[in-house]
Amino acid sequence: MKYDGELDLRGIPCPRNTAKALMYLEIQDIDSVSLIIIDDGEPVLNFEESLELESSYEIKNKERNEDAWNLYILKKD
Amino acid sequence: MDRIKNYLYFDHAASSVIFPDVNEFIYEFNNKFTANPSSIHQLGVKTSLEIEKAREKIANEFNIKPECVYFTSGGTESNNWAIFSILYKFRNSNRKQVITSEIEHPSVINPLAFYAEMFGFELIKVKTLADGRVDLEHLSKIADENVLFCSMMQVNNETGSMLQITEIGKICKSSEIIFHVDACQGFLKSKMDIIKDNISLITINSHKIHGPKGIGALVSINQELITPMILGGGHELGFRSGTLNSSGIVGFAHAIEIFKNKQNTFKQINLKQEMINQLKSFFSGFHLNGSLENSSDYILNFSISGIHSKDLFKYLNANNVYVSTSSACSSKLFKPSYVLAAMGIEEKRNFEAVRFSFSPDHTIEDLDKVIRIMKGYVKS
Repeated sequence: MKYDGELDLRGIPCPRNTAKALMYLEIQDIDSVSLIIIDDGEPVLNFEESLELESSYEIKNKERNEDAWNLYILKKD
Repeated sequence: MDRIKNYLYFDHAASSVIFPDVNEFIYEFNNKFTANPSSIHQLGVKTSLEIEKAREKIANEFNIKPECVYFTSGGTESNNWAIFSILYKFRNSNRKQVITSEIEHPSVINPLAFYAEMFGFELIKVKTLADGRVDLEHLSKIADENVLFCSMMQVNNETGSMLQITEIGKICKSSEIIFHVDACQGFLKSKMDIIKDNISLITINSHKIHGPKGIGALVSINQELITPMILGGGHELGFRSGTLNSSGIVGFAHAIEIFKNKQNTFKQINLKQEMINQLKSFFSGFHLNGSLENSSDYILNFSISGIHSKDLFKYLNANNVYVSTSSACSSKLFKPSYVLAAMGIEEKRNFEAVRFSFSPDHTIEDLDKVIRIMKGYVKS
């Protein structure tokens, strides 16, 4: 999947990883897609839950990346 | 700010008065972000987000990554941590010497002496020049491949002298010495470039720039250099445990913004120069301790011949003017300043030394008032 920018959060504990992802997404353009790489387990679950509460973002795709996940996130209007 | 209250506060180098905007900001923040920033629920994440924004703001002041900023309880902890980190980590190194100046704050001198003894290092102090800076010639002679670590302050807390950080950084680089700068009195007030000046670690704190007390940071250009000193729940990427002081952190970052906005107006007034001019014209025995050229705009240390600082301090105190006679940490003990002694100032003048330290909120009217009060001392 094509994306406009990426942020690697592997090794960053919760909830700092989510906070950093939200900071990153905040400054992205509307309609852009960001690749967020985040550790498997609690980190990806917590991140997804947090994102569900944010109406401006949508996870377009999710794929395994070794011990982590690649999440493609669309920034909506 | 200071004028609304019924006193004149000239002791901002001890602790600055928190900007009212910062106070309000913290109050609002505490009402809104009550969660522990380590909690993974939405309010915890939101609080953590505010902390990361503050971290980024501080990192931007040094043009470094936010990951290089570790929050602490203030300058003393950051200094202790920097020193412990390096001396512990490299305790088995072949380099067996550590360097500092004679005029450092006790939060550098004491842990350096303590850990140097504990881990088997020799502590060497660089000589001081009459203007309150360090003797670079002496430093050049002793800084060689036997030296592991060098810790120097950016601006001296008693005299305001600005140490030659760029030159010291070059000397450290030539012998691959790890360089730590205690920037508590210089952060935002004097220029410093962490990369160009070859600095590995920097100590900063909030309450010297009109932010809240109890919050500071250790800036480390390389994560490999630091060793956790406070162990627990693994906060700050495992390097400094303890629930983050959220409101302190955001207040610190907010104070940076406000301080920078106010600084230009303050520089235009040139309060320090103006105060020197006025004191000189009235008190024939006026002596500036240090040099005007190589010192901070925010700290003025002077002696007036024949006026013991204890007496002037008492008089000013009785007139609601608050200053210091020596560094705040040691002001309860009346003994000559080791900083002024290292500069070669004789004991009589040392005991006559008074420190005024300024805020960007000070005005010429504040200065006029304090000069009027000081003139009254002679008449009293």
